[in-house]
Amino acid sequence: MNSKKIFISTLFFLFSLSIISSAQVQINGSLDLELSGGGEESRFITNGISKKFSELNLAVTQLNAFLFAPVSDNIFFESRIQLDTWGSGKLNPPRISLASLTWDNPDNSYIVKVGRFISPFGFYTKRQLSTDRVFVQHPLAYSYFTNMSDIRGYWPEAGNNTNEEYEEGDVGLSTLYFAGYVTGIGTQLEIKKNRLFLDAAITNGTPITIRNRSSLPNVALTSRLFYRPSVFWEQGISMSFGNFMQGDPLNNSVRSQESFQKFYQLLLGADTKIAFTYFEIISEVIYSNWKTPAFISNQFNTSCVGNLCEYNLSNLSGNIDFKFEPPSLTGSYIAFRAEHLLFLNANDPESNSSFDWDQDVSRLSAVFGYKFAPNALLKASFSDQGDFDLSESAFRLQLSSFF
Amino acid sequence: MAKYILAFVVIAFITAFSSKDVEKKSNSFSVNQFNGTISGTVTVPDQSTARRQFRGSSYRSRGNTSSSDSNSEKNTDAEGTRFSNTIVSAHPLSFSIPDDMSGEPVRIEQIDAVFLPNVTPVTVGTIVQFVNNDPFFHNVFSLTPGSKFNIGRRETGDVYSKQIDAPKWKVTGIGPITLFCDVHSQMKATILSLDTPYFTRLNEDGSYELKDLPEGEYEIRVYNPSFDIQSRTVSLQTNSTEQTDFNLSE
Repeated sequence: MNSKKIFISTLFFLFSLSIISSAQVQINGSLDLELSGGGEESRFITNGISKKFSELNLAVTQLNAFLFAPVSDNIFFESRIQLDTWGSGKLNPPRISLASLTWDNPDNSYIVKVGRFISPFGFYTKRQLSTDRVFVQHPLAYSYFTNMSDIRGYWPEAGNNTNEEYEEGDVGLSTLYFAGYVTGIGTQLEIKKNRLFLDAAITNGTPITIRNRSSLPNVALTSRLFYRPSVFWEQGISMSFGNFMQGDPLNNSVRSQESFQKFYQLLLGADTKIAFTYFEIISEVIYSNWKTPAFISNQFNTSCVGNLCEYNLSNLSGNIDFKFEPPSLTGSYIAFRAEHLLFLNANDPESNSSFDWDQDVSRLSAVFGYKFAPNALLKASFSDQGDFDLSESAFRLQLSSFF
Repeated sequence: MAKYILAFVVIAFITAFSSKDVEKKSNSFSVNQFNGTISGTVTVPDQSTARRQFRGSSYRSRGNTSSSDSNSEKNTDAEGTRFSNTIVSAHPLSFSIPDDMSGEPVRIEQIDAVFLPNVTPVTVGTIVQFVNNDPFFHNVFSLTPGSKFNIGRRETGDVYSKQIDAPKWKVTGIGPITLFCDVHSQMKATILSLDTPYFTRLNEDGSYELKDLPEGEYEIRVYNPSFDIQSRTVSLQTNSTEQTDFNLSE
């Protein structure tokens, strides 16, 4: 029996167990219907619009099924089965994006969860569902694919610099996994009631990791300290450190010489939310640093005294979101986002010279949202980025519903 | 002689209204004597929704859409709550009630991410006050047609009471107005806007009593947010008591 069958069997076992024990299983769903289009330079890995769908395109972009099942008074199981259009622009086969078992005793100030769950890092990982998000797109740190690959390391020929689309294979990764899930064991601790919280997890990779299983014995520590100084101000600081490289036939030969466990990603983040009456301002700054090998001109760079050259690469991203809910038009809001992703100059370990390892990008977004039912939200979004000549613009009209 | 008759009529009016004891309203409508009673019991099925709000749930939006979740979960825990969320009202059919019958301001509090009370009956025109008693933001909004509003995020009442007045507005329309909190999607409550001053909340044993009703014909309605409204017509004579029972599972 392979691991997939074991996993699915476990799901069914837990599901059956929960039905027997409490009969309080909740099954919900969500659906996103989207009319989208983009400029002539649209690419999924840059503005989220696949080039072949840059003309106006109507599609179901996400379909989710959620299961929430109390196993006992203090333990519950939670899962999400997800179909989405990430990458290809077409609806992908269903995948289990979340499956976690949580121990939550109300007498304790902490909870413990194990399985695949939402990463503690950052602010936007907590807004997984489109009905919870103000904007249609995630910020650049979560959605812009960089010249960093988890099987190649630094890869200057990654998708941004070629004509490859996401569906054609490895095109690099966004700084943080767009869906924000991690696999491991985590805890949420309420240090000071309603004021100070710590969310921490030991996982099989840093938050850049897309895969639910790691092909190498990776380990990472990720945490977020959340503080509420006053009712209108929420402050979070996040960090993560650990392995991110994955084993692959492409890197088998070099891995037999040198362990990939010495490569790492360090993430530091700070997020602020200030909200009052009809206004909300959210900002997040994320710094990422990688110690990584390099894959240049279709081969790993092993010219550093016969060993893998180790690159030290960093980027810095920031966004500020402003949201206003007109009180005279109940259920509606307008929001603006300004963001920038800055790739810090790196040092070439061979020549000891400085170089740009990826291209900086700025993006401006505006959205009008209208909630015409408590769990139905319509968003009209427009964004432009890069040279702001509309060539990488994106338009989306998205209807999100939760049922 | 006419002066004496006029004085008698005035005194009679004053006496009649000063002795009125029906449901805390002070309305000036010319109806019959106030001494009938309608009472009974309402069977409210156990909905088996007494589930704990787990803190570690991953999704903000999960679990607030089904009808079984129509009450805040904390409010369905107690056996008595399913009764206290049930409102019985008597709507006169044989005499009219003035348009303006607004009562005293009613307060709805937000405590531990729950609206309290969960169901609030008010007469049309009554002012409702929302008070955030949690140390974090709450918002109150309604998308009920004809009663849409959004008060925005409001700070903790106890801590910031000097800075902001309790929000107030007129409740208009007749019927249930569903309230939500945009910050905590599990929070849900109902304002039951009524066109009659004669209403009561079920007692903890499921019984009710509408006292001091004028003689006349009434439509008795039973409202619980988890069930369809039930109604029945009752004729009430002076000094009489009518017994009317309901079963919401029917």
